[in-house]
Amino acid sequence: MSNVINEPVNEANLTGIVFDIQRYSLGDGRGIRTTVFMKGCNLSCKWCQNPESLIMGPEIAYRGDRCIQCGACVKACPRNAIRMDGTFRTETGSCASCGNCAEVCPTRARYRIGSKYTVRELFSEVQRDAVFFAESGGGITLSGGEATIQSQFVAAFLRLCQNTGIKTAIETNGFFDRERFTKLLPFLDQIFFDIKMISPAEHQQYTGAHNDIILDNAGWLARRFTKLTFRTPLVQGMTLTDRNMKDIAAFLIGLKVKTIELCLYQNSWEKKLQWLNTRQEPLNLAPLLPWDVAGIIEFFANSGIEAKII
Amino acid sequence: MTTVSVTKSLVPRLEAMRRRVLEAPQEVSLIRALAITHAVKSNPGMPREIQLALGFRAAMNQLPVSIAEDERIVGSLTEKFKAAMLYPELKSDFIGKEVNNFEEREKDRFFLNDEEKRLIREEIAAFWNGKNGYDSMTSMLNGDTDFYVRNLAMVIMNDFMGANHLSHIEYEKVLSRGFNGILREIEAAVQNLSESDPEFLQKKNFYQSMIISIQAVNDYAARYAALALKMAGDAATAERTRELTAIADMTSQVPAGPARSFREAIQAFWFTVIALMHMDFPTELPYGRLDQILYPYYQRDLDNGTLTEAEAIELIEELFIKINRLCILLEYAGTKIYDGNNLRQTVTLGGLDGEGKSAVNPLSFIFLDAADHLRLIYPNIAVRLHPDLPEAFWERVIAMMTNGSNLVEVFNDELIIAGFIKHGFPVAESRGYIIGGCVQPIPANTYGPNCSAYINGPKIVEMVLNGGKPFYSMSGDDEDLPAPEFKTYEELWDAFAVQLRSVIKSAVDGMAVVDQVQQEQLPDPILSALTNGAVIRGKDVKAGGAKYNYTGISFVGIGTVTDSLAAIKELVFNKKSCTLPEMIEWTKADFEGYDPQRQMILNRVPKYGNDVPWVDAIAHDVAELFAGALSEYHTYRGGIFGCGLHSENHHIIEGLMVAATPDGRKAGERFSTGCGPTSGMDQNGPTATLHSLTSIDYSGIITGSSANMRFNPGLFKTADGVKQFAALLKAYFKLGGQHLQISVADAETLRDAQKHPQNYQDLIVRVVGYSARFVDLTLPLQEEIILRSEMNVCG
Repeated sequence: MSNVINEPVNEANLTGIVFDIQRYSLGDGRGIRTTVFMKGCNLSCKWCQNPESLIMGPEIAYRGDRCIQCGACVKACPRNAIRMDGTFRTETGSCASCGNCAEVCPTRARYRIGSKYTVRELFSEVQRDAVFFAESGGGITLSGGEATIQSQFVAAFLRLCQNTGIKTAIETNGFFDRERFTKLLPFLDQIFFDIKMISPAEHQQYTGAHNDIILDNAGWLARRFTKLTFRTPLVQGMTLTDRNMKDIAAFLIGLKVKTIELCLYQNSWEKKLQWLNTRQEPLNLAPLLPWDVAGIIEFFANSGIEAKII
Repeated sequence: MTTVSVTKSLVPRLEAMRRRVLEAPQEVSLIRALAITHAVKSNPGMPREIQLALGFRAAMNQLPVSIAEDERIVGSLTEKFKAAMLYPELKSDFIGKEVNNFEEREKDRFFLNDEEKRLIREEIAAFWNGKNGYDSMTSMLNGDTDFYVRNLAMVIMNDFMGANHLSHIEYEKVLSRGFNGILREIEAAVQNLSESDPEFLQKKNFYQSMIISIQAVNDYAARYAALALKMAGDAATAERTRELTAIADMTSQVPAGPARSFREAIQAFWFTVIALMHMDFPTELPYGRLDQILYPYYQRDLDNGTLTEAEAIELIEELFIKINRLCILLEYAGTKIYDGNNLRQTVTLGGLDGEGKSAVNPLSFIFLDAADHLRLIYPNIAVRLHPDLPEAFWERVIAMMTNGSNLVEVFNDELIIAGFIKHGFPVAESRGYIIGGCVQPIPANTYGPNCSAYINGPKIVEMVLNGGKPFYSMSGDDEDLPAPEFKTYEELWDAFAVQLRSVIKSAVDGMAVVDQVQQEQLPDPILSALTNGAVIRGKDVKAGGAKYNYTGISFVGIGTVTDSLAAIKELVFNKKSCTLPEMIEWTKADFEGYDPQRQMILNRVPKYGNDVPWVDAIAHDVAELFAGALSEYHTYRGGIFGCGLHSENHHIIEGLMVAATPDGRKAGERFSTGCGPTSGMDQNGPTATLHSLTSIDYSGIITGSSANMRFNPGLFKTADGVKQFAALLKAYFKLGGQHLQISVADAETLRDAQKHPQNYQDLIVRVVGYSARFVDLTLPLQEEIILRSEMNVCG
């Protein structure tokens, strides 16, 4: 695309770490979208659906169910970090995440999570669906991890999208630096903002961070950006408690916000844990179903807030 | 444009009829086969068209007439409720050999009594064996053509299996002028015939064959009129008397005279279908643009106040139920890959009119409603979609595609019309196209048997990698030749092109033999009377009488071929991680002992269907090479060859006879379907799949393509999900897609249906260009549909 070439060279060449690009994504904004998952997060929520997104650097995952025990990875590893002891697991102490094993693995049992993209590369990837975006009113959505951590890259990418008529959205946990976020604002058509819990202590306990900045940011953004959608992940006994629901309703009323999107807890992320080298623990909770939260919807409605399950 | 409000379910009369059709066993009717056999046997030396016309007349005369209590439209294909006729003059060997097994086959059973079995063996098969069209054709094949046919590098016998009916049939002529009007046209042509015409005798015989045949149809209808009148006299109630009198009135008017009402138009259409089916093997008899053909009658009756919308939809539903009583008997080899749908008879709806404006009318909606109420697999419903059609129609079609009925396939009107114009068809003919068979467009005024032959793409790869000879053969032609030494991908590509051109040349030679046999032994007076041009030219459609002619040849397995060439390009020439001889060794070993290598190919080499430009470019090039090579030839009847990317079930049959391919496919496994990727290999969601599909230039694929996808029903539970699908479809057409049909069913449901078929008798899926009951499919096809990548919400 000619627009790409016209961009300042340094901006188009900025790099970011992406761990997934999902096309025909229908839950993350209007129309048909491509969701770009940026790697790295500044929270560590106990229910995180994308445990592979938490650290920013590349990781090597291992799926035993795909392994045919051909031994190619063992031969390829320069540090002898993979032992043929029947488990084929990587000894994390020795592994330098060079990715040679993933390169030779015939079944993708060993695979790299996180690839470096330049702004131009990422753009040329997502613009392939421009015709679908245009027809459906869709566009791209940045998700993560927390995309705002890589704010320089993200700003350049969003600007490129918007300059070429591709609509943009971002999903953020709200734990961002306001000054840096301000630079993204002109290039965003929609923002999804997570409000997880109002109690500072519980927020600290379940996400690993204090929520004062997040709640401040919510208020700040609500005053200057109209296409802002607040979202709350519902997790039994954590975010989904009577008190937290009441607190969230009160908080939204304080901001004069009339809608919220509720994300029902899913447990499919737990199966990813065994493929990763992570400290995150399974929660062993059942997935939530819409009728489990009918009372919550009603509660919000009584508070004058339209809650939508997504 | 207003949408029509209709009743939401069937009236009890039709519900009972529908149930009976679903439950009725399949039988065989011998009236036609015996009559044709007798006519040919007892009139030796007579021209074949006269023999067939006499046989046809005898069959129509012997066909019993009856009127059931619940019928508004009369006429039964055979003397039995649901029975197939035999066409031994096309192909007869299997009829005699398999007659004892028809009722014991795993799928698609037919029931006969002992006397019927004896007649088939002794009277029918015994007479035709060795002198039917198929046998004549095979005895005339030689050289490369015979070699490639023998080794299934191509299949050219489809016109002996019922594909010879693909014509733009002028039903509207029967409706507006009646068969008598057509007779007058023929008689005028006879008057004008000059004895000095070098073809005087042939033409005279041709005209005579049509006159005999058409009169036989009129006589058949007259017997209905007489019966109805007699029954009216004996009827128990005044209402029944009134009903039977109406039937008598109707059948004494049509099809001989013009239709005076919507109901008469449907009756005339139905009699015409019965006639066409008796004349020639009718697997792919197209019904044409019924919403257009019937609309003047509908509108007039509505204006007169003699018809209501509810009555109109009831008549169409009754017609559709009658169509579901039709059946076709396939030989056993065919049932092993039975796809649950032998009758590729298609109604075409929507599209542009001759002036280039929207042709959508209230009947276009009513036909969709009728299909939606009935949820039966016949007829196949093809919808022509164009950006200029009303939004309400798009919405209704999208609703049908996403509501789980799985009955509708859609075509890109703009692209198909432009494709025909590009290939020399006039604008009006191009805009007037219908869909015949499952996915094959046929312009107006054209005889277009366009699923006549299939080129086995992966077999060509096999031969290229084995010194030009098959490595895998069922006829003893297999050889294990040294691996070729291609130094570059371009050298490999050139060899592929040479091999493909060689097979295409032989297919063209073979089709000339097929067409010659069709002309000499299988003329079709009824189809000729109803195809524009034949009467004026004094020539049967099989002899090239139609105003325009074209024949279609399809390339099977483009996804498998693309992935195979891509794997070689990537591993041998780009990454140099193996040599070509090594790779050939893996395929010749059927990957036994080479599982890591096979896994590497399956998992680590990009595949067609994932929007990887360099891979998709190979598919583009293969299609272009094919279309270009074919465009150098003309058909026996003087028309063009059109190329197709539809596979019906040939990707399964032909797959059985091809060695392992470099894409990781094992020997005997099926290929990719239609113009699509190998099942399950498209893993980047529907936008990526559709991008890959549209890397092919479909304006060169005028014989049609088949694009199949499977969607999770959960996607369409919300209005928003349906809206996004509409956007997906519109964007796909903008990108240059030609055809799309989706099955809305999740893998879990389909797996359960395999285990408990009794609970899923109504579960319909789209196969490769038509609908079928999932439980009727054979295992390979069930698996294919389950393995189709399930399009679901990402994220």
